[in-house]
Amino acid sequence: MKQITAIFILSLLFSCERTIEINVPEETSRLVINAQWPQNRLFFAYVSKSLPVTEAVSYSSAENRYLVKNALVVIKENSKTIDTLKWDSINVRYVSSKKRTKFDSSYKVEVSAPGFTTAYGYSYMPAYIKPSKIVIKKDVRTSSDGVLQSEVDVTFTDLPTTDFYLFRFRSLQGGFSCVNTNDNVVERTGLTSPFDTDHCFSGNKLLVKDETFNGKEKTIVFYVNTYDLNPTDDPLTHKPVKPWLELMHIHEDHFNYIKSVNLYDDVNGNPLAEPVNVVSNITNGYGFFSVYALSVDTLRL
Amino acid sequence: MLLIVIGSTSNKTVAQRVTISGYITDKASGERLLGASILHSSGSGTTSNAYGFFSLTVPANNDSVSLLISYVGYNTFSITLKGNVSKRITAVLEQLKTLDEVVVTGKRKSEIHKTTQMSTVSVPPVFIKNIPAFLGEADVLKAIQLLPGVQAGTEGSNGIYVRGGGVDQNLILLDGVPVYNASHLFGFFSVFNADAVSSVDVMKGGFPARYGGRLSSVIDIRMKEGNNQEFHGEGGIGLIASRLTLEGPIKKGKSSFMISGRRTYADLFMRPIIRKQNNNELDVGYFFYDLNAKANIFITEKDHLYLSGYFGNDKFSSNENAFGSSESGNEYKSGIQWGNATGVVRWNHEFSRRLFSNATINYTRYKFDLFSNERWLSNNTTESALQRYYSGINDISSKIDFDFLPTANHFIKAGGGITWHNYSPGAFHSKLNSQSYNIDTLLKRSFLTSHEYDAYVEDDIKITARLKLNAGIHFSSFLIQERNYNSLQPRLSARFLLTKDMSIKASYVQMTQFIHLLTNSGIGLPTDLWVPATSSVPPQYCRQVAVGWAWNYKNDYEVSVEAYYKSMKNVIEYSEGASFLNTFDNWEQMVESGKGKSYGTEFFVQKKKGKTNGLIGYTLSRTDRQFDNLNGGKAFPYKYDRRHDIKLAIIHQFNKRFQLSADWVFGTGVATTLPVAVYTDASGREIEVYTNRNSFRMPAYHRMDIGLKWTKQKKHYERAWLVNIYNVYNRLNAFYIYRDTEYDPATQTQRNVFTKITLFPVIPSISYQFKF
Repeated sequence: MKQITAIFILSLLFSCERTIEINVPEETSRLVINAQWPQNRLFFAYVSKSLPVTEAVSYSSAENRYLVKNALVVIKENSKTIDTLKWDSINVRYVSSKKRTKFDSSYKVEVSAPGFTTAYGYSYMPAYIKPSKIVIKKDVRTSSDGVLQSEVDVTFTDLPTTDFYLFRFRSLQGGFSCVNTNDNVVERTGLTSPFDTDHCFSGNKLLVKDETFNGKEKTIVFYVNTYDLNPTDDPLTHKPVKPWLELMHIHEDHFNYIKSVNLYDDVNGNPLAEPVNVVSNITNGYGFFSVYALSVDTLRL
Repeated sequence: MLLIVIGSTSNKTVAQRVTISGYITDKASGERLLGASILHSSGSGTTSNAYGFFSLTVPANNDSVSLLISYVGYNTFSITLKGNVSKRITAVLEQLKTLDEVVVTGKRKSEIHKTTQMSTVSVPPVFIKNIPAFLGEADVLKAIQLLPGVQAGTEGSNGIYVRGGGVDQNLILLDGVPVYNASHLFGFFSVFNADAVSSVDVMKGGFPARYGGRLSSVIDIRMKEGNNQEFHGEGGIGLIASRLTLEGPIKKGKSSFMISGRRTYADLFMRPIIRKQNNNELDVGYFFYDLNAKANIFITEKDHLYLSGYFGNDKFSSNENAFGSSESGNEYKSGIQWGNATGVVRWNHEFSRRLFSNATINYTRYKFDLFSNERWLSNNTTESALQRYYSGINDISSKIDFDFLPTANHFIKAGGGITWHNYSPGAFHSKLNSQSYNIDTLLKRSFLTSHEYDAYVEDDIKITARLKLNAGIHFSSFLIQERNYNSLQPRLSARFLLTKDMSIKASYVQMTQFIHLLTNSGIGLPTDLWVPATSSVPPQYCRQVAVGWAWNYKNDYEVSVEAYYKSMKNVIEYSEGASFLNTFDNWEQMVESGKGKSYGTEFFVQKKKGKTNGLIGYTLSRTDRQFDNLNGGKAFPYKYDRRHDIKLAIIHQFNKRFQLSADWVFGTGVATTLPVAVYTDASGREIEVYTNRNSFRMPAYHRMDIGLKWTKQKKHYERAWLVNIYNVYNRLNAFYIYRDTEYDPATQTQRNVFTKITLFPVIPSISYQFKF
């Protein structure tokens, strides 16, 4: 009886793993372009390649198997070629030495490399939108964990067109640990934990579209942990640096891209959830290219 | 066979017709027999209804009325009632003595070729208990999975997917009360204790108008009424659970009871081991239990009262106690608990010889509760933090049904009801008790109530000796958030007798479902949430047409072939990336509403008599879904689309003492989505590229189980030893597949591979049963 019980318990506790062969259609390798530029920034692009999912690579080249170092990366501004990016081996990307993004311009990044079909992506610089008012009210409430929270009211004026935004609460340490809002214009993705009674959003992932306030002034009320509003010492200069708010005016495909990346992260490692395709706007390849208008405001407590 | 006319009254005939009415009951137990056939010498006939009542009105041509009453598994008998007058009788039938050479696997309703209703299979409890059982636990839903047109979900689970429908599209009724979550142990066992079950009917299509509320199937499970003649009991002791059922008369012949309980006890063995391994600081346990109870009382000759209930729970708990000293330490308790409760009061009343009513009030509740409670010592003061999430659904319902049999050519059923639904898709309770803070917060989310009204009328009409129709209409109305959904659902079934033992059938039904299940696991996790149709997520609709052929071969074999086409509207699916881990808020924004279609052919052969009996089923089918915002708007295969599905089950009784059973199932692999390419984003993170949703197949699923049963009749009881072997040839079926990396030292290369996870290899088990 003891043996039978042991067999039963072992059977219950240990499932089996076995490698299997599944015929996956031959997917040719494609160029991958990743580049998102705010205004007045030097051009850059991460260029790599996709690999068929079951392709074997040698140990020695495994780490760099996606890299493409011999690509020709051409930037066109308003349909005119204005720059060719150079390989930067330190940052493992292609960069421009002198050209920067401008308002009222459209851009095309075009990448070609031996053995690949030329890949490219388009984008144009959206209008600059800056908060007209940021009001911080200190310690207005306490989270269920007993953490003091401050209210940050951000007011801005939306354009009459359909617009998309990304808000990011940042400090030198990265995004704020917890941002709350009751405003339904903020997309319900990027929630830090489903069991979090405070309903925290990651400070880096606050996506907004203007469906309900198109062309009007809008105030979004956020709640952040008060300690996140304290300055952080810069490790190089040892001077305190205040946290800041980034308001990014982005395109719809950029909005969908960020959303899909958030969802991709949410389900990554969960075998029971339906997988997510990360949005790509690169013709003949993968990745994402976009330009956006960025405003930065210091958050002063 | 014994037929006793217990009571009779006479009336003068009206328009030269007489009505014979009454009940058919089992002699040994006193339980009423549903679906017994009553045939008049003129060829007119009827069947007893769900409560054993029958009424047959025939022309008064002679001085006597001759009836032939039959019920499979019982002796057939003819009786002649003298006098050309209406009579009320109670027919007490005696079960066939089980001979070595004749084994009947349970009671059966009318022969397959005679009924108007198609796409319906009765699964005898004896069959459920005799087929091989996973870990020795006979399981009603796993037996149903052996029927053609019914697909199992993932490995080991008791998910039911009928004719391409979703797991939420099955109306599972226990004594007429819906059961919302029919799973124990994360879907590996169903909540139905086979010992307490009296009958199981599975309808996959051709639904009569009296049923509504789900698109794909009705699984009608009835509990035993309890023996009103003598006291009996049965039970079993298995590796993971034990069970006991007792039944007997409260007042002989007048009232009876049945009570049945089951509990697992893995926790009793594992708790001490885990405790010992963790210096008594960790206590972990899991168990589930069921309790079924029923009482039925004959109040008067025309009034019968039933009371029944079910209560079951799963409970997982973990208690970590590290209070090392009086100055420091902490205690962490967490757990999950979920379960169903149902209760029903039913009153049968016979208004006249031709009019029978059944009034019910019922309650059903499903509840899920997840909690964590931490206590710690701080400066000699105990502080604590509690977090709790709970969700559920409960319904209170009342309804009345009438059976009216004006002539032998009509069997009219009509009724109506109202249901109050209360949904609580999620609530958080947070409580912090520390020296700095004292907070007690309850966040209720989306608590909803709705009202559902139903009314129906149907008539089983005998048009000619060969042609019979069942025509009906079901009306339902659903009121939620000031939105009112109304639905009129026509139902039509027809049967045409080709020969005396062969018929062709056809049916058309429309169904509406006002409830959705939020699940993307498909394995019956307790976190699956039932949510109502709302103003932004409309009800599900379905149309199904089916044609079929049925043959009753020498009363030994039932053979049927059916083809069906089903279209569904407003089925929901999670949006890309949404999962049960983030459904607790704004679930309406996380689902997509779309269309589905399903079509296929089912072949079914069933043998219910003889030393060897069993079934063979084969289904050739296709089912897909289409959502505007999923898969680029293109249709894709449903996860449980199975092109081929084969089921075999055989039970052979070698002699009175020894029985061998086996089943084998084969199914096309589960549709799944796999990456075809990988690239990196700007941060160097690998991103997988997927093509069409569910465009790959897991390896085909197949498995054989074997069961051996040794029975011995003792002086006062019967006992049996059962040995079951699940997955006898150790097929490693895939539960899910994931991408992994494989290193090959020989070629100094690495590559991505697909790895399958298998839950259950070969699993032997032994159990002991007794009956007295």
